[in-house]
Amino acid sequence: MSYNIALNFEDGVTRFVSCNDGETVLDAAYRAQINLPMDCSDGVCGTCKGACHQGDFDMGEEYIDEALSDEEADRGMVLTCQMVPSSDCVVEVPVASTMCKTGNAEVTGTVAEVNLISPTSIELKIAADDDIAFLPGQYVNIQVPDTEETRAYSFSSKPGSRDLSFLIRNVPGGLMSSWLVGKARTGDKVTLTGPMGSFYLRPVERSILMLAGGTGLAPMLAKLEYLKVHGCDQPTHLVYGVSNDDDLVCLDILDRFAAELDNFSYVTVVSGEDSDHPRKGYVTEHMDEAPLNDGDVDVYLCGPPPMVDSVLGFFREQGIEPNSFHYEKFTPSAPAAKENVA
Amino acid sequence: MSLSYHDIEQFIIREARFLDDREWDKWLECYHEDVTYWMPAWDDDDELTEDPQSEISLIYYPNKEGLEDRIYRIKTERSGASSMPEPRTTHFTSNLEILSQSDSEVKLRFNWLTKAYRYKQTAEFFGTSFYTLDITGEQPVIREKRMVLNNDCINQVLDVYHL
Repeated sequence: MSYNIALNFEDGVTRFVSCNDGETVLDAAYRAQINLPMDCSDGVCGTCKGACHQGDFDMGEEYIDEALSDEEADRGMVLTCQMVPSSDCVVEVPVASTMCKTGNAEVTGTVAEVNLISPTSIELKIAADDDIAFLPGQYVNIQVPDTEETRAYSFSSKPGSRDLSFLIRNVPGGLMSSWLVGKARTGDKVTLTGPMGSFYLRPVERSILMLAGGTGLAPMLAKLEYLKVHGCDQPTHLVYGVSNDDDLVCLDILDRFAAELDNFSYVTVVSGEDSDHPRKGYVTEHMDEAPLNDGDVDVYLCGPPPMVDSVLGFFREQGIEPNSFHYEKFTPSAPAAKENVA
Repeated sequence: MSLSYHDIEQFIIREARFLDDREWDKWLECYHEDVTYWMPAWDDDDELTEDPQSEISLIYYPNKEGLEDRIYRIKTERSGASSMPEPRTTHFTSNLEILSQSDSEVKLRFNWLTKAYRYKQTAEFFGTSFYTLDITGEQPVIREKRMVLNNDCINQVLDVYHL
């Protein structure tokens, strides 16, 4: 038996290592050529301290209070030299990946499909040559072929599958958009580095509200794919907002989730004035069905910066402080930008 | 060879600089093949241990091979017995005194303070070192190095680059 351990580094890099039954996270990482912080590896010095809020593990009784206090342990802090997982886990490592002699993983793949699913959206499907692990909601940098540039895109596909998919806004004149629309052919080689980011699905312990703007739908789809496999026993609601009717995509997929996934519902919202969509305006104006529960809700928001700001304002005005609020802002890339996420 | 106070001071400063600059091989060249590298421990009565063969030491290497082994571990970055990443260190040396000098050797002592920064935390170690330099060759080399560590509550790591 072995478990998949996601090591989330401070610089946004995530590396996955396989941890054997009875093995410590520190040892498993070391086997994978990742030098996590450590000195004594004996539960005494506290150098290897991190945090784990996702997954089951045993810390044993051997470590001393100076290395990790009971109060720290209650807050989910761990010593990786003592932590023996008994399920898949997500471990936060409070240093940059480069400090641990590691960095992003690189995976190659081939273009399987490029579909213009609306005038403004492109669906890119890639067949990865190797396994590529990621947490639902994370992104990768995809190199634009024949250039040194990369663009960041969230996976919309199910974690664990080599059949990757991405939802990409068709930016006129954009580097990746131009390549996808004008040049890409099935079988073309692409290189992906990652996964990265902290916009991943946390343990499902209360109702979930997902707010997606435009292609910000992609990481929500990955989360829903995950929930489909692992079950969804909490009310989960998606409000999906776009600018124009044409921008609404993947409704067939969302309808399927609504039919097959217990407790899931969604609504669409269009802000464009010309639209005759039944729900017009911004997502914050269509939150009637949102399971806000006086704040006992985990909120995931992915959209352009103004949307993030207006949703934050909405919660302030309502006097509701969600249990957690995770968001990812994205903007179309200028030619030199690298850190933008779509 | 006869060495001036200035020459000896330059040697001390240079050895410390090689550690700060991570010039590990040049640092090793400062040592005699048969160097004893010894940091005694403070015992329960606040006395330094006197015999590395029968009492506990904080560090003891009877020859240069031990130092070479440490450097190998540091350079390969893959060792369960060395902490990574090695910290950024800054050595400060002062209060150099020449205790005795002959044609073949110099005995000296000096105080040191090392600041070490790693994982956003600063550690410091300080104390006094006692050297016997072999000055029969072209360059002086350290024949004996005894380090007294005054703050011996070592929460985490203490390695050759701190000393």
